[in-house]
Amino acid sequence: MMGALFLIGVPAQAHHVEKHFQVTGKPVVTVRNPSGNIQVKAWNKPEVMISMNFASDKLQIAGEQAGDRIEVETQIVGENPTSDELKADYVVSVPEESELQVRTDSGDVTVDSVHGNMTFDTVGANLELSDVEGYVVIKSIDGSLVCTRCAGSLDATSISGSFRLIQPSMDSVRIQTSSGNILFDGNFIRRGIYILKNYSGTIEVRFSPSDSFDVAANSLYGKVYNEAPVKPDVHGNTRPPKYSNALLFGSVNQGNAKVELSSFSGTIKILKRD
Amino acid sequence: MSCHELKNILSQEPDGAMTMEVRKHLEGCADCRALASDLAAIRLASLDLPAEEEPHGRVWARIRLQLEAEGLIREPQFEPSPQRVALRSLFQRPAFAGTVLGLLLLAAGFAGVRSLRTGPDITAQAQLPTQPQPSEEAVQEASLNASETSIESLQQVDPQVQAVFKRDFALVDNVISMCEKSVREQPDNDLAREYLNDAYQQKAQLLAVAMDRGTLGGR
Repeated sequence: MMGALFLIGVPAQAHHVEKHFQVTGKPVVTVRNPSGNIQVKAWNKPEVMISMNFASDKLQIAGEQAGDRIEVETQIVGENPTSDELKADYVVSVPEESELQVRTDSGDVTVDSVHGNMTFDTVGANLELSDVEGYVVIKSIDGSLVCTRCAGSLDATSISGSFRLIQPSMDSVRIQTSSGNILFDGNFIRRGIYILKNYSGTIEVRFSPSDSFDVAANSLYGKVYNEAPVKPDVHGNTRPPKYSNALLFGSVNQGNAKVELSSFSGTIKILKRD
Repeated sequence: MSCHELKNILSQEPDGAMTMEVRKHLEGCADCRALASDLAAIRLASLDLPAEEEPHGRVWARIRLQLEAEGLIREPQFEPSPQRVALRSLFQRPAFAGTVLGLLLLAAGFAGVRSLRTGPDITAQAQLPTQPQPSEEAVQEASLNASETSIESLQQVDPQVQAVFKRDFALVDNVISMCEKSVREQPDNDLAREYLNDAYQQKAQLLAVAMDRGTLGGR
């Protein structure tokens, strides 16, 4: 399908627009919205439906479809818009295997039951993902992530954002933030790699007695609290030099996964799940 | 199909399959046939071109420091010369400026980190070029100037977003400061050095995003 471009100007009053895009395979859906909420949910139709609500004559919605690639963008056409005038809310329904690319700066982003790869580029938006799969990449400055029952892998960087992973089934998790807290409350998959790093704040992981992982936890100027039955490393890995104020190194059970927890001055907690 | 329409198709879908309409036009138009042939030849030739090699980050850092030392990229107190305007406009492109400043911080940070060692570092001396290293003060001043410039570029952006940037620039600058102190106190601590390098990378990321959002208005 050739590219189809549309532009929608905005009258002075509140406005609702809905666009439907027919797709055949696994669509790639890109949404660029500086401010406002974005809600994405999966359905079983071969169609992408985008519904937009906004109330400003300083905004314009631009969109384009080229085959299974759909891009929608909120454009600022007026001068000196206020925070309220910048807001546009999106509700997006996509096929389950869609790929998502979301760029936003403020507002909330929720994604439910989408199983394609996703990238999020945000300044201060809060992300809430549930039952997603695929490779998730997050680049944020501020704003939090709550990921519930997420599968696949996660690569996230932030300056002051916090991260909560609840019941994840991910075999690769890399999270780095400066002042945000990190919580990982899930199983460590065999051969999985879990690297959680912050400068300050708390890093907390919860484990079950049956979990099997190698652990290296160090806080340069903070503390490490551990409830796991850590024994000497079973793989012959070299214990790192002790420059840290607190260092924990060893294996839990057979050490089937790899867990690295690192903080400059924060607190690391390895707690038994109730 | 007109020649204008054909040229649009060839430029937008250079690798696309030719439709019957396109073939028919090419059969009857020598000019368009020549154009299509040239485009095909260019595409084939480009496959043989070697991959570009990005200059090392130190190169950009040296360029910037040299330009600053020569006074070519500082705030003008008088009508800037055309040369300075051209250089300034180059650094005002968000992607280029963000990359240069980010690489400046990274490269100067690495050099600054090495300068924090108390003892001689034969490895560092062997690897670094013979030009004088940027001092820690120069790195800090460049870093703070970059923060202020980026925040100024955000005047047209959502005030809430601007507030996030202001807060996080201060946060990262504080992290850099604490990490530098740690490396000074424990020069052989690789973990402290790793955190300092991470902090510089975060600063570079913050600069790039701020410039991107500020100049492009979040578009």
